[in-house]
Amino acid sequence: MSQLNDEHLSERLRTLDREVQPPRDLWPVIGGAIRANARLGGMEPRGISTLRRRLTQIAAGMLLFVAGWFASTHLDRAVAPPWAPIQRADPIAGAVAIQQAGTAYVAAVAQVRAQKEQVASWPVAQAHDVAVAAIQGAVWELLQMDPHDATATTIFEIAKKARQERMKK
Amino acid sequence: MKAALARAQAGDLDAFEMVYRVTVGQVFAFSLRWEGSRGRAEDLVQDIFVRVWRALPSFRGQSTLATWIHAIAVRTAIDRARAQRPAQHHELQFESGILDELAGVWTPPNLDVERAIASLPDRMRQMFVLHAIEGHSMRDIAELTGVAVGTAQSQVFRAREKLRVILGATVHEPVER
Repeated sequence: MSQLNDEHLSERLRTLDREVQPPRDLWPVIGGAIRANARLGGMEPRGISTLRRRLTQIAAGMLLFVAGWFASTHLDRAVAPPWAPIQRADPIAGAVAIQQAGTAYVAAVAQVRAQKEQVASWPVAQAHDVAVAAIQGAVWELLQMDPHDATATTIFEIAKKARQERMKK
Repeated sequence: MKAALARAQAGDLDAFEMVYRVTVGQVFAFSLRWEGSRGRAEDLVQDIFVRVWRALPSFRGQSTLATWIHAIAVRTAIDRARAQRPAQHHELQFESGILDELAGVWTPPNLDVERAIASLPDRMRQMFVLHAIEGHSMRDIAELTGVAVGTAQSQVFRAREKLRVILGATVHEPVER
């Protein structure tokens, strides 16, 4: 079997393209991801009006309030608010806090579904986006704890893809 | 470009789009060779530019913008590789790799070399790309990827050997069976 000599290989490597343009425009997805991250507390791009931002914050606050109220009054009166800080230096306290917040999360999504079942035209797009974003955010935190967690990686990629596809619509 | 950069650093997303348009070719070329798959390369490009946006206010111009973005690209790629192993390990086939996905979009001047690089196993290809194409020293690669210098050297050496065989066969002989 013949082989290329090392000098010839190096020569050929030097002539490779230094730039390759992507086959499709990736900017809409990147710009969308930056705007979405900004809404979650990252560096804020200019151009989003203060009023719109405030309204979004108020809406998010109301959603959290309603979810917490619903969970604590309809599901289990003993459930603490999902934003309760972890008080004890006990490994199980973190798991309990996540379980309580998870209950409130599921209850909030179920409430949106119930509204949708009663009124078919009830708009659910924003709730859907927030629900998927929350999953992605939670799995991201899991990956920070263990970057080799294969299950978390898969869920993260699926959630990310779902959000990207909705952004394209 | 300087004006656009300054505006982007101040939070102007439209100006950042200009920065993206000027630098995406370099970032995509690296991502494509690193990932060995068009879809994963596109995901990597997205992650890189989101990180570039976040880090932009800290860019002080000590290096060129291209060098600075490249450093972020490499760190992002390595972080992703760590997060993906061992869940997703891909070894592309020589006959049906990334270049077939890009047929009609990109015709590289050294098609056989690109094909041969794409055919290398992930880890070997990534270390080879960092060293032979992106110009990182073995010590750099060892630090960036968290392996011993000897391991990086061995991977790059084996990659060169494989490429020499593949390219020797394609250049001087009919494809070996």
